[in-house]
Amino acid sequence: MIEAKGLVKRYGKYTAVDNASLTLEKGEIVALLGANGSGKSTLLGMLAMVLKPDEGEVIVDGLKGKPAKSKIAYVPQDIVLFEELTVLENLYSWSSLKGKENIERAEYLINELEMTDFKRKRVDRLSGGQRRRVNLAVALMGKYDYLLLDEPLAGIDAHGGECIEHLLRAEKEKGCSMIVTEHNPTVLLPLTDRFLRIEGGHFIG
Amino acid sequence: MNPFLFILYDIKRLFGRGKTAFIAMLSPIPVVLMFALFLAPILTDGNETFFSGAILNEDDSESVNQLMNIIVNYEVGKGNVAVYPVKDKETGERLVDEGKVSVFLYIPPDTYNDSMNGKKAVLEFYYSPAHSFDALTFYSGIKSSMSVFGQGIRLVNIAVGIAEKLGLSQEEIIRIWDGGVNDLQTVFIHRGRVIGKNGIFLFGADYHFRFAIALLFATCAYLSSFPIIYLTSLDLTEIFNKRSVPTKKLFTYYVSRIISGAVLIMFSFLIMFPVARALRQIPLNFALSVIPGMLLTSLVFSALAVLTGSLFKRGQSALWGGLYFGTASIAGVAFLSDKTDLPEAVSFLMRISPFRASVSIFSNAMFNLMVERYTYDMLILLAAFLIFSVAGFVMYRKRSAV
Repeated sequence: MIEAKGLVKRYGKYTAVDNASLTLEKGEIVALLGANGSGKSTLLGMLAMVLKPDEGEVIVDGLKGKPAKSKIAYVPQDIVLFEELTVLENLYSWSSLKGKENIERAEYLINELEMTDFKRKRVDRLSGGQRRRVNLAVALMGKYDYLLLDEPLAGIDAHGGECIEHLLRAEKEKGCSMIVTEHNPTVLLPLTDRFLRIEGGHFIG
Repeated sequence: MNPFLFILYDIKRLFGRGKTAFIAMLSPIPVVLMFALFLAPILTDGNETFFSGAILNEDDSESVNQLMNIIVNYEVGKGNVAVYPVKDKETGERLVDEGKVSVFLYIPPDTYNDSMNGKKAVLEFYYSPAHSFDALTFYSGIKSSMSVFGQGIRLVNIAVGIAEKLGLSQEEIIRIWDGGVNDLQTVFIHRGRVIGKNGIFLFGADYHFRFAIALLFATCAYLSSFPIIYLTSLDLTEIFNKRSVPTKKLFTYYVSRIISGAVLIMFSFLIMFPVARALRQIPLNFALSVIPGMLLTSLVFSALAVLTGSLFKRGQSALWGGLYFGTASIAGVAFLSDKTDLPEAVSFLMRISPFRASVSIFSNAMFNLMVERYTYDMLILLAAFLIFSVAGFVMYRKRSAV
């Protein structure tokens, strides 16, 4: 279970997230909704522990800090990849960086996200949608219990969306918990257990 | 994944990134231009291994004769120079015009006495444009030698004057004179010691052009480390602090980056090394002794680049930081190396500067190879590598964590 208590993040005088608390149960999928600048990405960043909160704390299965962080896979909104390497090289590199090289897992993700055609292409030569899929695949290479996805469908076409939905469903069936931020939750609607709406850094429902 | 693959992938990243590749390609251009400028006269001159000169010495003083013998014998012994005495100025100038010798040096009468009496001593120096590089070599050597030797002789003269005032016997005074002159000859190579001052760069031990070429070598190596600075800063800001990586793996990646960076820097050396080898057909043992210096310099500059990249949050800022630091270091080595009156703190910093050590290794190993000096410089580089590596990893780890 992920427990966030009283999270606050300020950028100068501007408060991006103000006293946000939430709980994510095992196997649960929560959709975090909100307009641009509402604080979704900041909140998700703090939950993933890639952003340091000014106040509050995040506890994962009773753990804090690095042990807690190691249980989370985070898919950032930005494309965070080794742009100069191919898709395969990225997957191998990141599986090694996160633990142990896992070629089978890489092949599985390539198939699930239909990346076979461009798996030997350099990432910086891929289209936006293709890069988004690789970005997701890289996050899924390590071991994790919780998956935090920041707008994973941005720039993805309908077919790509279906691939991702299929993959996330499989992850849910394995007991993985998720928080997903999206402007348009239509594609992920069938998967979602709960919706949270954020506005001006506050939960409103 | 095999750590070797990490290195391989990182090399691919360093070489494959548009911006960084551009910087890497750009950095050797000024160096290549400078090299071409220096090398052109030699390469078009049949790549001789030594140059020949003519000398007309009309100053019959013993000291000047001794000095000329020392300089000439030393260079002739090293196989660098062949010197022909000529009868008159016309013959010397004609030999230069006909291309039979590269330079002609004329020492007018009373040069020694004039210099001892505080007057300006003027030597005349002739060369043809085709041998401008050889002329520069010869001129630099003669100038620095005469300058230091002249000061040494004045000290011996003062000692003799004191001995006379003290009423020492003629025999004793001659012994002091001979001893002083012999000492001057003995320590000719370490001319700085004669006047009780040793420059940071062993004053007078390197010809200016050797120093300049070594400086270009090191500068090029440093410039080619810029892609490492940029990519490291970018990795830490945009990748590693957004994707969690365990410390052990981060260390593996860090080591890979230093090694792949060293490979990139070695590439710039490999471009220039054959050129330097062709410069004077450097003896093989000298040429081989440069290679460990190159390897260690590559590792030091790579570790320094990773440290610089880790210190700055933005890639552009890291590049500016690296540029300022590099410019200050290069300028320090270029302009302060032969100064003997620096404040102790500056002098100390210059002595331990890896940049100075690197320049010194190339200047020393490519042309002369003094083992003691080579070992000292290698130890400075090794220490710098360890310091930069440890400091770099501390920063690398700090920057990759939240």
